[in-house]
Amino acid sequence: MSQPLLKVEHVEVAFSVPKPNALPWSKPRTLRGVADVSLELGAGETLGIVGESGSGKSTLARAIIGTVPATAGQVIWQGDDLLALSPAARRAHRKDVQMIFQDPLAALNPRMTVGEIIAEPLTTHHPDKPKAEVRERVADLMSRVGLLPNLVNRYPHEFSGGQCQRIGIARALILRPKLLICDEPVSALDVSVQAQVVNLLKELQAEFGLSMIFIAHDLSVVKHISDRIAVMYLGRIMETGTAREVIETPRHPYTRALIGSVPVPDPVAERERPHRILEGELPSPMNPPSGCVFRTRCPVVRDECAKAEPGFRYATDTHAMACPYA
Amino acid sequence: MYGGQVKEAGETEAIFASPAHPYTAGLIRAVPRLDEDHEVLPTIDGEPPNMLGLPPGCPFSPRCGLATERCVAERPVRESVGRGHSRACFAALEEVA
Repeated sequence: MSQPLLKVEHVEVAFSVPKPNALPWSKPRTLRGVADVSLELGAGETLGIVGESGSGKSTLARAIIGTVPATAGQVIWQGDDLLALSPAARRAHRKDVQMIFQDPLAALNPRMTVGEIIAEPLTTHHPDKPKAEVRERVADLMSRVGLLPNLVNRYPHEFSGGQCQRIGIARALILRPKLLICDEPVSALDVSVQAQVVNLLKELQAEFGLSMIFIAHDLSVVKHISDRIAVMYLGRIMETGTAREVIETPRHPYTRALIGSVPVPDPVAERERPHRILEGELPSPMNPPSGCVFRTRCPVVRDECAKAEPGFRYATDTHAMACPYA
Repeated sequence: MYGGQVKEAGETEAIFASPAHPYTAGLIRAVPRLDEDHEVLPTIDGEPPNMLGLPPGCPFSPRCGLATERCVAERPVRESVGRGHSRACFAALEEVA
């Protein structure tokens, strides 16, 4: 990879959580949603981020886009540290990074027409754009994402979930961003429509030369769209590599358990398949286990795992895992 | 079910092993799988039905690759295609893969 578009270095996102029923002067506890994450994204590349609910995937995305402040580390966008920039300079960067969300209807203002919704980023960042040009850009994008441009004056509730997600995609692309962050973009959609949206995102990525961060808990969806995959657990990256490396030769016991739990749509094969069920629940990020955070659920845990948090080991130049025994 | 109608019913294994309705077959194909590689994922084209404006015939006909004029005009009734297995579709069984 040449100069990366985005570099995330040792990012931490901590929230302070008051103790329930505590006296007002007692010290609040801290919850580290993202503990220490470093990753890189090249131009035109898609990075998939997978992990259970609560693993910090969305918080990481929000720290990259700046809606949640990172409490430590650096988010370096084309060489500039976003966290050190002035608010005005950050605003200029915002155009380059756009996001689409899990609940497509909730992400759209119910009192705005589809045309207004899609145009809003453009009219916000370029208030003096001629109206005719805005209309033309909106119509172009609508047909590009598979919406009939004559629906421009309809309201979001008149559309299905898949169509709402297409509206969200059009809104995200109207500023021609360099990076599109997709936070569980198909998890709420009907199976028959899920694949349509994944295919559309893949096409648009090639056409616009976009970089993408694709967050999902469904490994099989992530596999189809990603060049590289990072597996998160309790705010940390457990394993990262090319999509092929992570899916076909997983090394970290957590990645293996995740892959083992993906169901196959064939009841006969499903019954015969050995299931490596991950026991227990995600520990509280308020009180993470010492040493390796995965050790409380790890099938191959040893005594040493409680002592120190493991660093990354490299199987290839691109394939790294935070487990000394994998 | 599709558009308020049971399109296919039967034992779990029979449904997955040999779906008899194009919608069932399409749904099973559309489930993304870890053990398959696709440049473009298989999908069912079109959108879920608008219950306020269902077509007079089969509600799935606007999205169905096997739909004929009959499917658009006439609503199929569910009929048996094997033991405990029934479907509401006019297409020949062999055509539904």
